[in-house]
Amino acid sequence: MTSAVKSRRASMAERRPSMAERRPSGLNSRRPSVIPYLAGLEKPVLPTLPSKCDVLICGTGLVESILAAALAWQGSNVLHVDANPYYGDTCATLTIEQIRAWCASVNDGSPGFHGFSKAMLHIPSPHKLNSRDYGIDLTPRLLFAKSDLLSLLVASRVYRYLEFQSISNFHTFENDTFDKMMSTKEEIFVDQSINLPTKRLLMRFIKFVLEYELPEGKKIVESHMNENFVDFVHNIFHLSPKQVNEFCYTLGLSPMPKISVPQGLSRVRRYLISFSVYGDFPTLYSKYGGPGEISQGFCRSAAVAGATYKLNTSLKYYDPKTKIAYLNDGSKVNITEKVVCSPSQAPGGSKNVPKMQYEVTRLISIVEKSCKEWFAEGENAAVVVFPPKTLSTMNAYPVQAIIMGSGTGSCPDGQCIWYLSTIERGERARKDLQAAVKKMEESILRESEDGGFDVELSDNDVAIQANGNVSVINSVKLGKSFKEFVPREKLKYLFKLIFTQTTSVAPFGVVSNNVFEKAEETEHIDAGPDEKVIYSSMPSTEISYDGVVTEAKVLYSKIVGSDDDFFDVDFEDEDEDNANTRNIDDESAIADDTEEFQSEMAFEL
Amino acid sequence: MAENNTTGTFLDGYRTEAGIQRLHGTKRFKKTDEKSRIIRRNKEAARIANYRKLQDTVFTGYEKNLYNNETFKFTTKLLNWNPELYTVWNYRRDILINSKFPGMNIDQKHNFLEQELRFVLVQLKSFPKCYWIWNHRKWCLKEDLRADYDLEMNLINMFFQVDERNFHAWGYRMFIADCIKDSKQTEEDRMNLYQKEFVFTTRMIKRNISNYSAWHRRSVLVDLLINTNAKLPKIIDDPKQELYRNAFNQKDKAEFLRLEYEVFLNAIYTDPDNSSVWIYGKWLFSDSFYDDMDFNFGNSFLDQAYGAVNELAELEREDMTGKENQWCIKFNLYLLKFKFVRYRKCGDINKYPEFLKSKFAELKKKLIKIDNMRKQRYLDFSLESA
Repeated sequence: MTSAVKSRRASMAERRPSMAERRPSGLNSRRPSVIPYLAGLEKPVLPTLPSKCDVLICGTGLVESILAAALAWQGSNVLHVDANPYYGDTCATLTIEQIRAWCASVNDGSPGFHGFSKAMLHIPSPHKLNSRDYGIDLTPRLLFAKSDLLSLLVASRVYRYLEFQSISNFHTFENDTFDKMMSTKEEIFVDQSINLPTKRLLMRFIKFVLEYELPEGKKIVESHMNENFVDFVHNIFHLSPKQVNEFCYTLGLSPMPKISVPQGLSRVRRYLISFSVYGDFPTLYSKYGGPGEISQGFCRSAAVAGATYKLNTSLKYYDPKTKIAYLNDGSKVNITEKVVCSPSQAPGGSKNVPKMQYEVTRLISIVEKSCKEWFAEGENAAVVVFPPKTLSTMNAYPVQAIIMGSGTGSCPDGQCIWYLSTIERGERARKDLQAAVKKMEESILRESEDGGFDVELSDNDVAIQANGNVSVINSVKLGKSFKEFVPREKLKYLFKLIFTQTTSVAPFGVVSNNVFEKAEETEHIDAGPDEKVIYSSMPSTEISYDGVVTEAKVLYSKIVGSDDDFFDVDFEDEDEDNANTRNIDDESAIADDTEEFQSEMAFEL
Repeated sequence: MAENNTTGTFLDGYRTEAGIQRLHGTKRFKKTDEKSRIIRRNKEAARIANYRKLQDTVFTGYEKNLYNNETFKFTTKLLNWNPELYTVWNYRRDILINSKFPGMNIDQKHNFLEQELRFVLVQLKSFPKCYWIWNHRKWCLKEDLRADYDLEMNLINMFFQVDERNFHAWGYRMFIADCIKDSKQTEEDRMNLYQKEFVFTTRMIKRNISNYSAWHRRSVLVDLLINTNAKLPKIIDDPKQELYRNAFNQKDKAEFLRLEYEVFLNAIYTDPDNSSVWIYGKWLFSDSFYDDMDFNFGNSFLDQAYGAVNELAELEREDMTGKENQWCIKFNLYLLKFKFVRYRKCGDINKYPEFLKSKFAELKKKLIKIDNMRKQRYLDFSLESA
C-alpha cells in the first residue's frame, strides 16, 4: 500500500539528508554551510568503545541527551549508550513495528523498559498500516514559546536540526461540546457572545496573571497562598466555573484538580506570556516527533562536541571502587567521574532505582480521519482538555489530549494521531481515557459530517465569535440535538495503544535533589550493580517540557559541581569574522531574545 | 590498543580539538576568560577600524561632492553596515541625481529604482523604525514615474502583520494611499479608497485596541468620509460595514455616532486602562459630530455615555485594588463640560442642571486627589473656562 505521507518516518539522517537545504535562507544567514554527516551517530560503526571516559550515560532520553551535550561542550569526555536500537529511550518516537516490539518488551519486563507496564496494543487491520509512515511519541509534549527548553534550543543551536510548527487551538470539553475560549485581548474584544462586564472581568484576571509578581499582585497572592486556585479565581475575579475550568485545566494544563494559587497562576501565566513571542500562538511542537526528535538533536550536538555514541548497549554492572563499568558488549570502561542512568535502563538486579510513586496512563489512537476541523487555519495539531467531572466516568482528574494531524509528519494524509493522558491511577485511568476517546469520536464525526447536523437555530440562538465561528448560546436546543445525533459513519481506528508509566517526579514538581542523595549515601559492600550510579528520572507526568532543563541542570551540578557553565559556550559562526557584518553582538551569543534568533526558527505556520 | 577505526567521516575529525577549531574558527572558551575577552576586543578593534575607514571615505566624498559609481558603491557598503546615517542617505540621493539619473529614460530609471527599493527593503526589515530609511523609500517612489503603488500597499501590509503599532508604517501607508488617491480620476474612486482604509483600521483595531495610530487614522478618515458628497460603493460583505457605509452616504452623523459608540464601549470595558480609546472617545463626543446635532438628542446621548462610564467606574472601584480609574473620571468630567458648552452655545447656560455642576466639582476634586501631579491643570479646568 502506497503511503501518502509527506516524509518518511526513518532515522534523522535518512529523513533529512541535507539539513542545509531545508533551512530558509535569509540574506543575512550566518549558518555554517555544512552540517556534517554524523556517520557514527546514525549507524555506529566503531567495534570497540573507548576504554576510558569521564561520564557514562545510559539511556538517550531527553534529559540524558541534554545532559550529554552540556557535559560534552563543557569539555567532559562523554560516553552515551542506549540499550535500544533507537534513540530517545523513554520518549522515543517509534514506528509501528518498533511499538510492537516495545510493547512486547514492556510486558516481558525486559531490561531497558523499566517504568512502563501493562501495555495493550490493538491493530485491527495490520495490512493497512505502513509501519515507517508513522512516528509515535511515547511521551508527547507541548513546547511553550516562552520556556527554558526553547531558550536552550536556540542558545545551543540544536533548533537547527528540527522543524517546528505552531499549535493555537486549545479546546475545552464541557457539556458535550468542545469550546475554544477567548483568552487574548483581541478575542475578548471581538467576541459578541460575552457581555461587557464579563469582558472586563476576563481582562482583569488576565492582567492580574501577567502582573502578579509585581508588589501589588504579590500581596494578594500571599494572602491567598494556601487556597485552591479554582476557588481563588472564582471568588476574587467572579469568573464562572466554566471559565475558571478553562483557565486552570486548558490554558494552564493542570493535571489535577487541587493546585495552589501560586501554581495555578504560574501555569496560566506560562500560556499568556508565550503568546506573541513568535506569533499568535503559545505553543509549538517539532515535526516528525516531539521529545524523541529533540533528544536526537541534543545527541547530535553532543557528538559534535566529542561525545561517543553506541546503541544496543547497556550497563551490566558498575564497580564504584575500581570505577569500572561493565557493559553488555563485553567492554570495560574506566569512569573518571560519574555514571548516570535512566531508571528505564537500570541494570538487572539494581537496588537504588528511585521509588516511582506517581503514574501517568496514556492512550494513543490512530484514526482514519484528518480531524482538520479541530485545527486552526494553517495548523496541523490541537490540544483538547477534559476538565474533572466532565466525562461519563465522572473523572476525578482531567484528561489531556494532543491531536496530531498528518501535516505534523507523524502519520499519512487523511489520518490523525490522538494522544490522551491522565494521572488518574489503575483501571479508573483507563476507563477515563476510553470515555474521553468516545467523546472525541462523537465530536469529530459530528463536526465533519457534511452540512453539520440538523438543528433549527434562529438568529437569537447564535452569536459570532472572534474567530468567525458561530457559537450557540441556546444550549438547550443544541444539547437536545446532540443527544439525538446519530452519526452516519463510524470512526475507524487503525491503532490503539494503552500503557502506564511510573515516575518519581511529582505532578508539577521538578525532580528533587534528594533523589540523588541515596546514591551517595549507600556504602554497602554488596549494594548491587548500580551502586553509586546517579539516576535521572522517568519522564514527568507534565504535558509541557517544564522541568526537563532543570533536571538536566541538577544532574549536571551533581557531576561538575555547579551549573554555572551549563551550556556556556560561544557558538560563533564563521561569518562573524567578515568585516561587513553589522549588528555584531558577541555578548549575546547565548541570549535568546535577539530578533535574529526569532527569525531563524524554521517553523511552518 | 585497537586503532580508532577511522571511516574518514567528519565525526572522527570532530573528536579532536583541532577538528573543533576548524569548524567554528574559534576555540571553545568560557565567556569570562580573560584571554577570550582580549581576543574579542582585538577582533572588534579591527572591525571598528574598518568601519571608521569606510565612514571617512564616504564623508570625504560627500564633502568633495564626488558623484560617481565608486562613491555610490561606498555608500551602499556603509549603509549596509549602518543604515541609520541620514547624511549618507542624503549623499546617496545626491549621487543618484547627479550621476546616475541624468541620461536615463523613464524605464531605465524605473528599473534602477526597483533595485534601489529592494536595497531599502533589506534595511527596513532590520530597522523598521528609522525615519531616514522610510524617507528614502518615499523619495524613490516619487522619483519613479512608473512606481507600483499597489505593490507598495501589499508590502506595507506585511509590515503590519509583524507590528501593527509601528507609526512609521502607518505614516507610510497614508503616503501610499495619498499617492494612489492622486491617480484616481473621480471623487467616488478617491472616497472609495478611503473607505477601504477605514475598513483596514477596523481590522487593526480588532487585532489590538491599544493601537493609537489606528484610532487616529480612523478619525481622519471618518472626517473625510462623512463630509464628502461622493457615494461609497459596497466593498465587503460585512453587515457592520454596510451600516457604516450607509451612515457615511447619508451624512448621518448621529447614526455613525451610535455605531461607533458601541465600539467605544466595547473597548473601554475590555481594556479600561487603554488611553487611545478614551482619547478617541473624547473626539466622538465633540463638535466634529455635535455641531449640527439636535440639542435634545445630543444631550440624551451624552447622558447615556456618562451613565455607561459611571457604571464602569463603579465596577473598577469594586475591584480588589479599590482604586479609581482615572480615565473614567477624566472622561466624565469632559462630558459634563461639553454639555455645559452646548447649553452655552444655545444661550441657555441657566438651564444647565445644578446637580451636574456639583457633580463636576466632585469629580474634579477626586481627580486632583488621585492625580496630584497634574493638580494645576485640573484646577484650571472649570465649566466656564474656554
